[in-house]
Amino acid sequence: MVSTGVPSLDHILGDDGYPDKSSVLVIGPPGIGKEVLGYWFIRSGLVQGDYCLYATHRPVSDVVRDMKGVGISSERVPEWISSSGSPVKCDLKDPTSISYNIKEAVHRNKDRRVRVATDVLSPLLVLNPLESMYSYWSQLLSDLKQQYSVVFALAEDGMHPPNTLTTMEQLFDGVIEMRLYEQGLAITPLFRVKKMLGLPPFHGYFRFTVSNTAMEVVPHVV
Amino acid sequence: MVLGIWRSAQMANGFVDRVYKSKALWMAALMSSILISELSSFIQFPSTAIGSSLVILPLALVIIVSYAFVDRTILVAMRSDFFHRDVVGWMRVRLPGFVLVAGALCLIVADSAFAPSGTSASPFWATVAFDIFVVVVPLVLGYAAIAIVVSARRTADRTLKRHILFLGLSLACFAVVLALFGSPSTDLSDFLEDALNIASLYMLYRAVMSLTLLGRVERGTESDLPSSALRLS
Repeated sequence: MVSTGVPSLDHILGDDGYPDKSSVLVIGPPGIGKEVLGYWFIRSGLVQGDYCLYATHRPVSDVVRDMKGVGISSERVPEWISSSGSPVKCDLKDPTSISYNIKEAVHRNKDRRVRVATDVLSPLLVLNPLESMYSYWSQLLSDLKQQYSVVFALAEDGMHPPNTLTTMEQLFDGVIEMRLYEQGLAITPLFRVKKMLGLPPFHGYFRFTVSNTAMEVVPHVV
Repeated sequence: MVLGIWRSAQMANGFVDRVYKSKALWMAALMSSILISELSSFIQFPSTAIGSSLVILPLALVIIVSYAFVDRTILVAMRSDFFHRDVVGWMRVRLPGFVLVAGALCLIVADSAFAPSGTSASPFWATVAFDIFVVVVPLVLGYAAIAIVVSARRTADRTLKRHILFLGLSLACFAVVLALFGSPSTDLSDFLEDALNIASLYMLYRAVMSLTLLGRVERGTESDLPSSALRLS
């Protein structure tokens, strides 16, 4: 099993974290904190000596600044595929090159456990037809599963037609949804584990808090 | 307006990303300044230079906060654009625009303090100051409204698009209301001013409500924690 980097979330997922050789999709609106889960996932991998790859459509400097903002600063850094600031570029107009670069980097480290975090799913879904993206991600995730890897992808809610994310959810072994929920006049940040490989269906919501040192997840009482 | 302020503050608390958190806080600040401006009309200020300038200060606060908030919103929209494109040269005009608005506000505060309305004849400089205000501020806010509508078109996030569009329309209505200050008062212009004011506030409220996707917690779904023994292998 692969730790999520957030002990309370590991506990929710049966004390183990994400399953081996799996792919996890985190869905949520912008600003809610999806990336933070990815940052802790990568940080946990770096601490444990896993090979970590971060594929992003943003500049490396932006991601590093965000990581520091939530209390993650490490001398060890992941390998980057990004729009700028990394030797390997992330060109959203060329999905094939992104896929090739990810697979090539993972293949180079086939003797180690690999963690891949990426935020390019939504941009690619916006810029390409759903059918071609379904095949693209299906192939990419299938290829990465041949290695000892866990893939963590982010998707922006509200950016796609409703059926698009539902379609993409089918490709992933785990789906976590983060969102602001309203209960009466109160608005609370909650998340749901919609599905997770090897676990029975979850019910209910979990409240999460992000400080500048840690992320905490606790069951939410309705 | 109070509900809008409450919701914005709660959303700010829920957001993790500093940009979105700050955006929600700015929204709360903007609506608070409008509320203060509306409530201040019930206060009787003394007819001194300071008292007269206090009459215009709430409006000046609304304009400054609006401009700062619009600037933040355009930056957020540019960030959510996958290609991070500048919007109608906003990065170049945002600071000069702020200086122009701040300058025009200083002039109108001075005008209000030293040549209060109701005096028999306004000095020439006061007329010029007022004319500069009713031309410069609507022009700058109008440009900001155009920038914000263009940025709404570019962002791929449909929630943000709707939010920004409402905000742009609200700002455009507000800019026209400010421009109408300079026109002679007629029944038609008064009606237009009131109608646009209401439209501006309504669209601002809609902008708050569309700040993010809000889910509804389903009743009877208590959280369950599967133990590690439950994990299927």
